[in-house]
Amino acid sequence: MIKLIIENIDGYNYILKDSNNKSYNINIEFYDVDVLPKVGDIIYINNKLLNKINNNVVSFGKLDGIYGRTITDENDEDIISLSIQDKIIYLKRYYG
Amino acid sequence: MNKDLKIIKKKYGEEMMHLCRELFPTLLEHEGLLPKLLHDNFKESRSLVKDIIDNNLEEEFKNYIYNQVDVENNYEEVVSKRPEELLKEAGYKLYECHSEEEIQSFKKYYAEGEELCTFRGGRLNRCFVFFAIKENVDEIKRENFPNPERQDKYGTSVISIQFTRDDSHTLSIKNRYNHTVNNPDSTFGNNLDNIIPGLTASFDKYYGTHQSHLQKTFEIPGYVRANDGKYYKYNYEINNIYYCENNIIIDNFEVKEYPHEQYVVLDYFILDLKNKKIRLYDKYISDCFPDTIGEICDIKIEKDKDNKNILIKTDASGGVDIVITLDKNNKIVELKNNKLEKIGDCFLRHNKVLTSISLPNVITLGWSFLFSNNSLTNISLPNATTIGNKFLFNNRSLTSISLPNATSIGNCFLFNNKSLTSIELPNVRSIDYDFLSQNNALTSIELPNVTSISNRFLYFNNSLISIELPNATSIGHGFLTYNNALTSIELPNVENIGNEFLYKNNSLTHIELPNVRNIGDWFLNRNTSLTSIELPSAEIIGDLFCDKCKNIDTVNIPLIPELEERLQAKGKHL
Repeated sequence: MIKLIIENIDGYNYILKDSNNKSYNINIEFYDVDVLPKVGDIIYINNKLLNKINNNVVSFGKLDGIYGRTITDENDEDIISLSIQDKIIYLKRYYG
Repeated sequence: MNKDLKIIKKKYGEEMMHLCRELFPTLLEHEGLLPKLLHDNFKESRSLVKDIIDNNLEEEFKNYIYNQVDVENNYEEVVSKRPEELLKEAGYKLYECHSEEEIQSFKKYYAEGEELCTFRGGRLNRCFVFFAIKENVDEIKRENFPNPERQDKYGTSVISIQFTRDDSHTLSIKNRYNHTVNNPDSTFGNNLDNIIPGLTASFDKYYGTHQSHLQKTFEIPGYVRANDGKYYKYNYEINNIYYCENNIIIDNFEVKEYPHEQYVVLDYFILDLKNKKIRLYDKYISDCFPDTIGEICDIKIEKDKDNKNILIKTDASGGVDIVITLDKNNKIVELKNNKLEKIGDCFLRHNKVLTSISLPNVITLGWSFLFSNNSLTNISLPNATTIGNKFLFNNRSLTSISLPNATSIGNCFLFNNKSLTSIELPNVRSIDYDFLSQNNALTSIELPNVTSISNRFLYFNNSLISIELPNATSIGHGFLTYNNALTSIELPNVENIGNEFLYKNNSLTHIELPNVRNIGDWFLNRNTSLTSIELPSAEIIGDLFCDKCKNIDTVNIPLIPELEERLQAKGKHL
């Protein structure tokens, strides 16, 4: 998993930075979260997924949501974790 | 032959040349263009075309290359047509959605479990949303497509075209199958011109959806795009470091090439031919393989048609004692090490493809030996006495194994293996937890010397018919819990048995445990076939003991009178 810090948010566009100062620009919609991530919060993401969604649009929702693949493996590349206000939230990629 | 095709054939192989001739006839009219596009985007590789074809990515490959082309396309004639007109020519009717109700009206076209998350609501805050519906959509039935593919008739019969509302107007074309196919949000490669030429410019002109960057990614399994913009085929990805063919390592997307004259990159190790050393590239990986090579005196490399043999001498006066065989991608596929006696932890931990291994003198093995391997079908370790934890943990291919001198087996031994039919453990004394716990192919096993067995021994096995454990004194929880085939068991010396002993078994008719003192919960819980039970020494028995037993004639449990009462209540007699 790669650790990305949210550096800036402009609407749905998130500018994320990794530990090597490399930037990623991703248009993200979050479903099923009580509080949206803010600048300074952290996203942990599989690097293969990151490569796919960089400069792209993506949605995330709860792990048992019907709009994503059925997850059976904790290492599935569609899973991300958000660190928001000292809470860790796990979400999966939604499609459509 | 076209000069460009000759270049492509030389660098990427004949099959790639054929594919390019088929996919890019117009690009081949501009000399030098196509070879440059391939060179700028894909590291030279003879495997690329096979990987594209095997993954059904010809369409995506074509779209990707065309997206790289900086050629002015003259669409003046067609861009005068509105998107509705162009899509009508392609057989679609286009609808723009201005409200949530309008979006929801398209939900009826999606099969249950394949609905877009657009229908969750709120998408109009983020995107302009269109739906394009095929004129003959009513004739295209889901049940006629049992093997969905993203670009098939059903998947493309209803598409949602969505542009983000920000200045980039990033495009996503959603598929009617949604997440049940790969890359559903990149239907038609997210290129409107693949539906009908000119559609991108038409949307731009009439809806103001100028895309500041076209979709420029191409996803192909087993490939990584490095910072130089090229796709590289990799053998392993560990800690975000990619180990590729041709002596290339991509670390944080930076390409590092190791000169062939001095180095061989094999799996995730680097063999230095000049300094005669082998090491891990990434110090954060735990793998004892380099330690098992030791001091190298001499290295020779011999090549045959497909493989490469690295012959290593560790003794100047001796012969070759280590042979490492690499496939054409430099993955380790065979290994012989005649001198090795001790193996530490995580030996070739990430290797999945080793098919043959010879370690005739190994005595002890640490944990996670060949942890990820799924290609070995048999293995013999004639002198091994101690087997560490998680031995061949992920292997599902092994059908036989010989460990004639093993005395101790660690936990999770062949944990995921379901196919082993034969195992020799004549001298083993102790077996830790999850021994072959997923296996369902073993029908017999001999453990004449085992004294202690931990939890979940052959937990899911339903093929074992009989078992003899003449010296076992202690058995943990979950012993053959799912087995319903066992008709005979001998445990003459066992004293302690954990929970769920033969929980699902309904074939055993008689059981005699003369020395058992303690038995856990759910002992033979589902068994209705038992007619006699002999537990003359049992002092403590857990809950739900023989809960379904209805046919017992004879019970001998003299030390637990309350149990006798319970069984009497069910109509048994002592």
